[in-house]
Amino acid sequence: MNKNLKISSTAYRVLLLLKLLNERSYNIDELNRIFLSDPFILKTLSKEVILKYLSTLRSSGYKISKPTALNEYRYHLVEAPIAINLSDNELETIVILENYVSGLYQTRLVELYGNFLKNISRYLSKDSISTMDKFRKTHQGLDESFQDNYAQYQDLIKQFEIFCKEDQRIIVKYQYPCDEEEKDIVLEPKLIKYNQNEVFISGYNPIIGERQLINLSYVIEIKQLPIKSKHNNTLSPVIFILKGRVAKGYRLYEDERILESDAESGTIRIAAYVDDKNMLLKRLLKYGDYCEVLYPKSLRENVIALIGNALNNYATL
Amino acid sequence: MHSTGQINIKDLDNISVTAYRIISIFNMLLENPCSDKDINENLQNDIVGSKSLSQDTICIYMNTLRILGCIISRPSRTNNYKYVLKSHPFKIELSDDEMDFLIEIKKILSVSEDWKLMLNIDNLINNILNNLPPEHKKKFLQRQKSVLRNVEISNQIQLINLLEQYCAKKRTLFISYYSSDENEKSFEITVDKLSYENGALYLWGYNQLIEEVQCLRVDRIREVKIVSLRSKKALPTVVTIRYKLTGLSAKIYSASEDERIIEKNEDDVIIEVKTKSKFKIMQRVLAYGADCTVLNPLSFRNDVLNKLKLMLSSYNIQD
Repeated sequence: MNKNLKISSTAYRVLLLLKLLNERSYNIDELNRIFLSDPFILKTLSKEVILKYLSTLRSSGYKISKPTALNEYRYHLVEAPIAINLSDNELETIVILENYVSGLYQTRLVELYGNFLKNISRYLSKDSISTMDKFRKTHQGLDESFQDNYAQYQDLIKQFEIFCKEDQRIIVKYQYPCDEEEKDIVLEPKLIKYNQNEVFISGYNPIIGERQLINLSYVIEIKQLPIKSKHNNTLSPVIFILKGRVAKGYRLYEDERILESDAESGTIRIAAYVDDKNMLLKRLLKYGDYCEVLYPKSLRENVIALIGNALNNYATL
Repeated sequence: MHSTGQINIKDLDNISVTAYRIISIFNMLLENPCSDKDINENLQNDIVGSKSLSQDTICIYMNTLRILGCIISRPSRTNNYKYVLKSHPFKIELSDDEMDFLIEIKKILSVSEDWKLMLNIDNLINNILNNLPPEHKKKFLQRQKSVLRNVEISNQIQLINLLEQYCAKKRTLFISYYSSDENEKSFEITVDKLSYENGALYLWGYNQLIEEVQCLRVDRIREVKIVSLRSKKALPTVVTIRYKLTGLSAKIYSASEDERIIEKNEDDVIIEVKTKSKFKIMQRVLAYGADCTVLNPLSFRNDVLNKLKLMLSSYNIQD
């Protein structure tokens, strides 16, 4: 920063105050700590001077709330200095997102959405805010399908979310349709995944040393154990080769990386770090003869056996 | 932008008049580039009793804004001797949590297959990004790239709107297209629908020449021309395929929109699907692995059989 540049020091302090209040709310002491360390100020200012600067900002049209016990005696810039122009379509999308998020039944996501909405609302004009309110009324009852999609899982989702936060091991009782009996597994809970109409819980299984994904449709019960999770996020890779037109147009999925790319043969070797190898396998089978699983050996042999069994289906016809 | 209307300088009590003036100048620059003359005229309109400012004073005011983080270009011949505000530090900022939240929601919704919703979300996020400080925008885009495999579609709104209209009317189009091997290809197809799958927008249509339904990624379409209205519309043949599911797949099976259950018992289920795209059904059948057997038509069953043999041979194992 060029400290030899001629500036108006008072105006600089007022504008700096505006910039700071745009970032978050402050009390006088916090403001003075910043002024003291600012290279263009290098001192603390009296309360009267800061009040004069706040008065300047208010006279310029900025709404700054008064410090009260409710806001911990902080000054808060109610509306941002510059408004963002969002189209009606974009404002409606914010409202639609609100309904989608509530239909996911995760408190964490609802809170994050609330923070995002609070942040962006400061940058919206009064007209935009009232347009959003109109869209909220229009969409009431319209977006029930979002709410219904995962409604049957909401209790389990909320329970699992708490377990993720508390970071203790859990025991999951489940039964797939082809299982004769219920099964129990121990997991260190990690996250919740959504796939169209299905919801999955993902966690680290310390017994087998791998991440696992379980469809909530088959979960009977989840209970917490009095053992802290050991934060083990080990995911062993599945390595496969893609060939031909599939290799050429391939877009990497999350948690995939290219190990090797051979322009001459037109192949790419990919490592995928997934918590459900069965789900990955379904996708890889879709690629037909353009895909070959290399590692782990057990999965490769599984694929070979699977294709062999599929062929046998036609031999018996 | 904040405005208080015209104000008398005598009424500006217990405030910094200089700061007030600089804020007014900042608001002027937000609207339009301004020369020294523009600035003085506007100030004297806004603040009754305000004196004309010298060039040096205006320069000091501009330096104050620059030190704060504004990028303001100096008056020159190229900008008609006006101050131009290129960037300012009062942009919206997203916390890391807010960035991750938007990316997570986009990821969850990208499996919904609702392309209009994804387009609207892309437009909303892009508008917000354009209002972020450059380093925040860069951070967001980097984080998004590492998580999402979605193909950006908001930069093709015009094309998408056109294609939607053409699909509604089942028009025949001549399309120039960059295929995955980066070769440009051209062909005629009678378009049917748009779909959003696996993070990309696709155009489906029937190619009469090769007698196949084609699925094209919209972001790879280079050019679209309408083929003469008088030419006969080519319509794909609808094929009826029946397949049997056994094992776990049979037990957890739930019919898609284009399918119906013909027969169901304790161990298996027979499904019928009417489709214009055998490619899509081939993928569906392969994904079921050994749980699935195609029953008819014979031609499709043979296609699946041959595909399975090719798959086995790619593991150097002969059937």
